[in-house]
Amino acid sequence: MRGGGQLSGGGPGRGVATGARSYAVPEEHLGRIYDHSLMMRILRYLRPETARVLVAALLLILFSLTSLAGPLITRIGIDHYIANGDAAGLLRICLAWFALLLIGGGLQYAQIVTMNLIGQRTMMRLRQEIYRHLQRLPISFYDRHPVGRLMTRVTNDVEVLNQLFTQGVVAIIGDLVTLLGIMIVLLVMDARIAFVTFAMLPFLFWFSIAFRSRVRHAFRDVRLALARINAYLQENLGGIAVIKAFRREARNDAEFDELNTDHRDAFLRSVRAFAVYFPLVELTQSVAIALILWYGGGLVIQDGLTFGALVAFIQYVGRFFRPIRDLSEKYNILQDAMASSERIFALLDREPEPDAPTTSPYVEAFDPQAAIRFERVSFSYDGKTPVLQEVSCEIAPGTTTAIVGATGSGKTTMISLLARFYDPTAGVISIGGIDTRKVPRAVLRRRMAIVEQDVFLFAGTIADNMRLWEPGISKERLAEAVATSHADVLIRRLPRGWEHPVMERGGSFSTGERQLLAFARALAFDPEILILDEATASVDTETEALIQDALRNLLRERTSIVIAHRLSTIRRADQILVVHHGRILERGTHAELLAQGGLYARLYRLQFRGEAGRSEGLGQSVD
Amino acid sequence: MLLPYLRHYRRTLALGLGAMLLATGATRLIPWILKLAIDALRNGASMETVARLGGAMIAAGAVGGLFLYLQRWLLISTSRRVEYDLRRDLFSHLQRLDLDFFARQRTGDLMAHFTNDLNALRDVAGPGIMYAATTMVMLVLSISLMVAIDPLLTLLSFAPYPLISVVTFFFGRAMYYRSRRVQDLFGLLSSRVQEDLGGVRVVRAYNQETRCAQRFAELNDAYLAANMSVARLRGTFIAAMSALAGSGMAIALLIGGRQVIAGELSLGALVALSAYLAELTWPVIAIGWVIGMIQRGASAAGRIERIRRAAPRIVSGPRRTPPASRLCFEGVSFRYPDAEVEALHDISFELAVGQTLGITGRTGSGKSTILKLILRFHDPTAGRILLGGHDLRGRDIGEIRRMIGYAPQDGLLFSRPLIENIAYGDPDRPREAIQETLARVRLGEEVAEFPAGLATLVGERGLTLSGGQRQRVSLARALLLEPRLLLLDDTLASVDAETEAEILANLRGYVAERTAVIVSHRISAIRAADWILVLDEGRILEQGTHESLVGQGGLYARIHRRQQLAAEIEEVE
Ligand SMILES: Nc1ncnc2c1ncn2[C@@H]1O[C@H](COP(=O)(O)OP(=O)(O)OP(=O)(O)O)[C@@H](O)[C@H]1O
Ligand SMILES: Nc1ncnc2c1ncn2[C@@H]1O[C@H](COP(=O)(O)OP(=O)(O)OP(=O)(O)O)[C@@H](O)[C@H]1O
Ligand SMILES: [Mg+2]
Ligand SMILES: [Mg+2]
Repeated sequence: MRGGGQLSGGGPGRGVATGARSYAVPEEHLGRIYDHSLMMRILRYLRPETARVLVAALLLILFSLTSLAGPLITRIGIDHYIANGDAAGLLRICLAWFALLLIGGGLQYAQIVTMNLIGQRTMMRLRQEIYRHLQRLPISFYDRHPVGRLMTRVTNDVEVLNQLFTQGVVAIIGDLVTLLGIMIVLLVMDARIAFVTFAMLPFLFWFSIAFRSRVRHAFRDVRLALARINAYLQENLGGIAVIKAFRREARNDAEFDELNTDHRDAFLRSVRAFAVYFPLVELTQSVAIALILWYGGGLVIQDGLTFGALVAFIQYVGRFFRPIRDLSEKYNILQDAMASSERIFALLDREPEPDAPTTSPYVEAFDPQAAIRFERVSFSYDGKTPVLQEVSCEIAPGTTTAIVGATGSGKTTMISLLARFYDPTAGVISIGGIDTRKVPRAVLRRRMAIVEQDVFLFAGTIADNMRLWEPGISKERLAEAVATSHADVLIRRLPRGWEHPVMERGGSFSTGERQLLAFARALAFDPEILILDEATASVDTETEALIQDALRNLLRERTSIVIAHRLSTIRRADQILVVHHGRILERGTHAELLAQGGLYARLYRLQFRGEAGRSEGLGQSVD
Repeated sequence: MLLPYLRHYRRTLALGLGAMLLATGATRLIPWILKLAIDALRNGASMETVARLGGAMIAAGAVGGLFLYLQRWLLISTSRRVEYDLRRDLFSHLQRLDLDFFARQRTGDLMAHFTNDLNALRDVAGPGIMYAATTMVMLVLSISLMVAIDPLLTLLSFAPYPLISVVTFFFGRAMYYRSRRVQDLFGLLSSRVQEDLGGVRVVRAYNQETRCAQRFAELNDAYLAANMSVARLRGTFIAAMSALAGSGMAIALLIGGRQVIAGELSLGALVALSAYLAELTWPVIAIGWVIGMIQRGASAAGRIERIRRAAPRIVSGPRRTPPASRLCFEGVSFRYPDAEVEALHDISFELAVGQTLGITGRTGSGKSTILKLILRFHDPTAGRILLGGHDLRGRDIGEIRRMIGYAPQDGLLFSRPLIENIAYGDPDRPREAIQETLARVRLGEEVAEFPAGLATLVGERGLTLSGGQRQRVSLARALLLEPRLLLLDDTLASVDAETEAEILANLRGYVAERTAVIVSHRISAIRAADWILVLDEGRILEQGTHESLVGQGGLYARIHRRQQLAAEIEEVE
């Protein structure tokens, strides 16, 4: 099956099978093909461009008229002037032709530019809509969807629509109108022969239907393969150091080859289908002409159909097929566009995270400088495994609360819930008595800053990363934040200081330096609630101690929540919560907890005994 | 750049072009048969003749269709295969480039090479070639027929065409640069999306959604403008081409007409000539289209070529490495390519087989850099690293890396099942070994509690695991290889004290069996090492065994004191 992360080689003793396809997350299921509603939905994006579309159509018509003038002028030139030996008249009409060519050129230029503008503007709107929509989807969505795949929606999938918008829509409408016009002309000329011609239409229709699903499935597979290629690239280009260290190059080549092959083969299927379809249309045309010749010839012989009429008819039949050929040329574009818009719409149809309205009465009443309460909060990421179970605690304003506990016990999850990256499955988190779900997220987070365990820096400059494009943060505030977090030493060392470029994910800084910068960023936002999740785990002990001292001042009037494994950093906390398997096992101050002699006391003794020399670390035993 | 790839398919391409000629020929037959039929009708032929001609027409249509099918299938499918080959080779090449190269790239932009830019190249290889060939054939056919009618007039009616080639030249160049800008912006757009989505938690935590959307919109505007500048250029060119082609016809009418009036040319010849000229209009416009496509392809090729030209500077040497080799740094200095200051300065130490080296020191002092040099992610700018008495640069890289188990500081995982992450370096390891390693890093019970156990799908970069879990998986990934040289970069920083103590205890025997370099901020992890380096600003500040360092009373002693301070306070209280 495509999608699902399957795992083979389950039995003991068997190796671990890897496969690039297997690592993909299940793809949103696309149902059967609904062309009509899909097309209507695509066309709806053109609505803001209605005026331009009309102008483009008008320009197209005008241009076609000027290009039709050529044969006419030639005829007039030959019949009226050359036949009469009128050289001056010939010159006149040729000059008129030149003028007409100029006008035609202008019209064509205007038409091309307008069509492109329509396409580009529509795509821009679509890209922006997808982007904004992505920003409103819940964080849990990002746990399941690789970034590379989402990127495909915003970039490559939208780009596919370009052809439809710039070459397709207007031209298709033009073709259809032409087709209709010629059909009428044919009917007026001779209904009998016209019907012979129209007899071909059901076949054409049938071909199109038959190929539609084949081509569409092929294109769906192409889009899926492309999304997987992007996801694979995104991840592996970011993890190149691990790849090299573990010498995965050859295996990755093979994995990538699977995806690449899928992509090629899906495309080849579409090429083959189309390679069959298009000649069939051609063949139908010659059959139609042959039929008319035969039937019309019979009419000429028996019924005295005029000869000229037959010739004219055959010429018109040629014209009748031209738009059909054009349409079938565009069929590919159309199917490709449909396949990618399906995925785009599947994404857009995902419900954004519900949020409280900004007009909510709680916005005014909300005070970040109030007690934070967890009331019997339970949570699970997957709906099955409980991660937090009935956690209750209160954090008084202006105090420092430390959360400690074994790895994987749910500490990070607690603060993710507080910041409303996720919402509890049961229980309530309130600030100042107001359920945080009743306050818009933006209001809740405005006075809150988090230093996450997993630091993220953006490509840009140091200053950009500190203030994150927030114009309100002054240089002084930045300087202060940087001094407190001891990132100033680092910045001073850099030749370009604040303007020093930061590589993607902060690649040119050491892990500890990255943490210092993320720390400084949190302080720069001058939060009332400061949340530190292992914020100095990769920082050396001396720097950590200096930060601790500097922070003490700063934290005086703020509420802070500190997660730390190094217990030395939290001894002074007003309250320490000991989390174990998703429950709060102990709570109290350092002294109280030590006196209790529970888990905390054990952890604490262990840590410091280890460092005081009674146990041994790694390496060969010393004795 | 495309040529070697196309050459590989030259037979298919030749067949495809042949099919194209036949297809063109067969479809050209139809009007001719039609003419025959009409003439026959006019001469009062029987229905039978007409029917036969109709049959011939259908046959011509069928044959034409068949060759059209072959033409499309052979030519277009080749372009898809070429695209596949290019993508495969590009990925393969990219994977083998230095880390220094990646440090300067943006992932989104690199990704754009694999999609957007390759598409442009594929368009050249497929429709580009097909239409160029069709156009050429039509041009040659029509021109030779015209010359047969009247060489002089043909020449005159082609008077505007030199102009066309000048226009084409400038158009081509401008198209190249403008396409390049579009492609670069596409790369930027894709990088921006990649980062904003990758850092989505930061964006949300700091309420920057609107600003990010704004920044994205600005980039979008620039992208639109660049695309429109290409569209205007293309519009100008196509319009100019069709006007010029039309002028050719007007000139033919004017001059040819005068010749007819002067009695130098027959009217029939003029009419025929005009007809051929009219047929040329479309191919001439198609030239513009094909040139635009080729220029777009050329600028995309330029972008891709930049990657393909990048050669890894860290290349493998020929020398094999004996199993037991001592590691030795001799006055090693290192500066990152774009950095002003040295990350390491004059580092020397020796590590005998089976010994453990501990490294600690300030943040940013170069600890991780030492490990990266041992892995040969970079080469020293001065000094030498010797393995078994020979410079690392002369040794086989694959072999060196195979003997190393590395747990990087950030513990990056991949979004695949947990078991594949653990067995990342060697997917053929038996299950028992995996279980044993899991137990060693104290992950066994936790994994057993996961509903899907070892098959649990890990989120991108490992983000659906807790920080400590991620670090331990990364540690397990290195341990599973049972390497001869173990490099651990602060691997227990996000693990609680109890788990840490247990893991350290579990590892003691394991580490004793092999050579190890252990970086840590926690004294507990390195105190038992045979030799300890204390780094500061890329230099060795102190070195020695734990006891001697504590005795020296320097930075190490201070860190040590600080880390045990609390314990002492406790004892005092
Ligand atoms: N996004 C996620 N999706 C699914 N499960 C998750 C996710 N994040 C964490 N978990 C799981 O929830 C549990 C608690 O994780 P959490 O990150 O809260 O631990 P923690 O106490 O912060 O641990 P650590 O000290 O290692 O950082 C772990 O078992 C983890 O695997
Ligand atoms: N790719 C890079 N390009 C430029 N400079 C770099 C790069 N990587 C690291 N540096 C710089 O080199 C120095 C040493 O970095 P390294 O990662 O070795 O430090 P570290 O001792 O491991 O620190 P930490 O304790 O924070 O992990 C730092 O000043 C860092 O900013
Ligand atoms: Mg955590
Ligand atoms: Mg480091």
